[in-house]
Amino acid sequence: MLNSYLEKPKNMSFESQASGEILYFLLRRHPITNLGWIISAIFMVFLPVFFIIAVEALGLNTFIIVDAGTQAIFLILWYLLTMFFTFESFLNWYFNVYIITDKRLIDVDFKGLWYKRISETALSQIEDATYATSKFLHVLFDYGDIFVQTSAEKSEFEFHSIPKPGIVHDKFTDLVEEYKKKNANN
Amino acid sequence: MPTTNEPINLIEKNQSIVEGFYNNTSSEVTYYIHQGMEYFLVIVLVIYTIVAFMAIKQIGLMTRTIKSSTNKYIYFIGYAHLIAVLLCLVFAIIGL
Repeated sequence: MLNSYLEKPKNMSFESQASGEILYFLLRRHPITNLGWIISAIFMVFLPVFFIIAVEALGLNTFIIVDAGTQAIFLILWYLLTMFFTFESFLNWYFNVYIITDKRLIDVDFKGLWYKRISETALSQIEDATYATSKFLHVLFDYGDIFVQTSAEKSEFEFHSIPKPGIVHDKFTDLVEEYKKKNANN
Repeated sequence: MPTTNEPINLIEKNQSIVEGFYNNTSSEVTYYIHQGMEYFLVIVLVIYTIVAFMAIKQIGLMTRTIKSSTNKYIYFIGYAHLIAVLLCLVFAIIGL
């Protein structure tokens, strides 16, 4: 479930998959990229506790300013916000996928629960693919970005923070070459 | 010493009237703030329930786009989220 690198995944398919179309890669952002929102969510969970400790340390009686019931309502609203933030962040990671098949390249963008955009290009339209690892964490956890130049209307596909970019790039370029050779022979 | 006690009693009486007035006013204000907050919470929860329901619809659409054996876990998270919000809404309505 939390896998971000799936090579020839079994029990997996996609909406517009043609019969006989082989799914080579299903990629998500590296799990380490989730660290930011996970830390934020943990901080949000413990923030009311820190607040209570701070108030007690200052010797303030908050029940004089705001009654217990209203404080409970604030607390519920805060945890609802935390829950929504966590849920939305997880779904954004889970549904943002890059799919590579033996015929095409598909980029599924999913943002903020409502926004969904699917772009695809045929392997025949791919001109060039480069990959880059530019940050300390990229090197440490072996993830990076792949940029694919196409001759289609959407000229560039960007795969951000995907795991094992070297292997993916290598296999992807092989796949494109193989596809182009096959087409040329035909 | 009735003459000297009388003004003191009057002052004390006046003070208690003033304090009582302020106490009553502040408790009334607190009551209205609390009531307002409760209604606000219910409104937020109703909106949130709609959002949680829409999230399940969107999960349905996305799991159709990417069919996977792990999609049932995502549905489980979605429904757990909706149930948690609904429970909060029910308790908030009971508390009104």
